[in-house]
Amino acid sequence: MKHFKKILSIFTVALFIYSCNTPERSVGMTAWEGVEDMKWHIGTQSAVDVAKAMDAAWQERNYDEMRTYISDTATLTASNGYTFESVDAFIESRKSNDSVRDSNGSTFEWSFTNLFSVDLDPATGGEHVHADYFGTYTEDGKADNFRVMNRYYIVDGKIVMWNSYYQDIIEETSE
Amino acid sequence: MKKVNFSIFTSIILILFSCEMNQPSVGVSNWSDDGKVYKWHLGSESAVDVAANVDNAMKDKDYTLLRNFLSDTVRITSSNGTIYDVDSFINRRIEIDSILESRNATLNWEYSNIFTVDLDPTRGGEHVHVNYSGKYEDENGADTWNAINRYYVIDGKVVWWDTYAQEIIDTETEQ
Repeated sequence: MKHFKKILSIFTVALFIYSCNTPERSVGMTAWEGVEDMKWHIGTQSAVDVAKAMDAAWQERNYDEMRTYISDTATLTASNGYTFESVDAFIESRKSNDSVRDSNGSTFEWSFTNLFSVDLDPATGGEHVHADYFGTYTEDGKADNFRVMNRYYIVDGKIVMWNSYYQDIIEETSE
Repeated sequence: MKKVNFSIFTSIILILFSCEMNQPSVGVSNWSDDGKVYKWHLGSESAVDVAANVDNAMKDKDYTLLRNFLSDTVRITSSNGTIYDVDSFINRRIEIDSILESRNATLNWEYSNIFTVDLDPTRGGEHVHVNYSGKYEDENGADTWNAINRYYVIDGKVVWWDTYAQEIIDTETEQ
């Protein structure tokens, strides 16, 4: 009986350690060249925090800080397919849009509804952070609502690729 | 013997608890309907399979099979904001097929990634994300785009289907 208890104790501890160290689950698929054999893992909070911090800086029009979350060689593609020539060109376009809106009294407000990160290979750098946004553009009292999904590829705390996808919202009109 | 039974019971609880603790979660969601702040977990392969099955049925134009993967109360929102129920969506697909045939045009798409995330693994429902690239081609030329379909899948059926789009600027024909 004494031996049985010892064996049971060792077995319990071993199972506990094993269960804590089982490889992290992964699901899905990718057809991206070179990583076709990989599946998706959940990402890290630190990558999510980069997207969150970048958004906070953008909301405050603090473009110097916003710039610090974007890699010098980042590729930024808008939902209309336009790829900015450089990060500086992207930042300048934000400033220019702000200036136009300030002058004509229009507003552009947005807030994110979801933020999460997924990762193909947790052993190497790089995660894909997804951010769902709800946006409203208002001009002359008329509001245009839309949804945007931004996907950021983040490596070492910086956005390396930024892709925006849109979904229009059809406004209900009163007859 | 009672002590041994207690040890076995404790072991099982410990192992189950440690396995549960091994499932990381990240990010944030403002979708909460109960006031709690949820983080995102990795979803399950079975939800990924639903998205893959939806795609296969769409490609095969097998709308009877497609209907099996859609909830009777599904809400489908295209990137232009049009909202369909199951019948209006399938009717629209049949109409599109007919238009393509009459124009001698083609509409092809491929998915490159599928993954799924889940706000609360103890409850049903997962959010499956699928990245697509699409191409429409007729005698006048081709139009290409990227899209993300997000399916909210419960019990093997799509309950919400949201499409987000990103245009691709054809550098040869568009400036």
